[in-house]
Amino acid sequence: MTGENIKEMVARSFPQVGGNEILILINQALAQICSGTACLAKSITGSSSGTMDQKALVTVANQRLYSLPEDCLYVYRVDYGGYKINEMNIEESVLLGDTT
Amino acid sequence: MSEDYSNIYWEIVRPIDFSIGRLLITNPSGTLAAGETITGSTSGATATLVTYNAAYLDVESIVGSFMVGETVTGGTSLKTATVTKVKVGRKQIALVTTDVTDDDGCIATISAADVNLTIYYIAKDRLDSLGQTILIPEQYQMAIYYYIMTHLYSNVDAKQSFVFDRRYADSIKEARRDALSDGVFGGQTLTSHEI
Repeated sequence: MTGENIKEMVARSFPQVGGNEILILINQALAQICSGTACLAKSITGSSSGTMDQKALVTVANQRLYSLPEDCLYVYRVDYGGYKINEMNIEESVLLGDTT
Repeated sequence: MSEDYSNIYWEIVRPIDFSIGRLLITNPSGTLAAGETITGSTSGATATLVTYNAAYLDVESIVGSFMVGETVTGGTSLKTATVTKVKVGRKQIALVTTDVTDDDGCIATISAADVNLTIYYIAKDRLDSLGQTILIPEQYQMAIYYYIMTHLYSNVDAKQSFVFDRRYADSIKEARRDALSDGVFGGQTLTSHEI
């Protein structure tokens, strides 16, 4: 389904509503639905010969920060070289003396 | 052989990385070349082109702020395109380890290079135009219609607005239940290994 399909459905009851307003409402709905339901799960694996997003997920020696895809709302799992690694929580961070 | 990565952690951190992004474009005069510097005609912003697509440019090393409506030009190819949307700013993830003890006792950065990370994440869906395809699962797409109808009826017919609001709420509830029960998070271990 596209945004046009939604617009056509809405137009049966509200033909006067313009495309821009429909687009804004669609995006408001999508923002609520995606953040509230976690219905759009994705994964991406780093590759030195892949897209920009994939290249950003290949480790560089002594580089701490790696950029996530543009459409990322939140991360729920990370694998390092094919193996699941743990999320650092605040308590561990404090105990380990992380000051950043 | 099993690997032990139990001393490696990930963490979402701030600030957001504003040095990379995506410029949505229209009317490209030709193919801009990966690796060349692109420059905005009005803003003077520059960036290195990583990926060219007729609909967008993925860029890194951004300096300045590109503007909607301006022309970007490839420094080598001299091809141009008009910017229709600027999407800059990426969340960042930090990788740290505890197996190296610094003098100051801080955790250390991973020193290994060329290790592939796999990120499992919840994505957002957003349309730049009505012609775009909606990405959320088909069974939940009607929730968008219910949301809009709730909103549009709210000032003209409270009863209809309530009816659509109930349908929207039911759809959201179903989507949440599905995400927790099977499957949004299902399959995540198929290509990876638990420690």
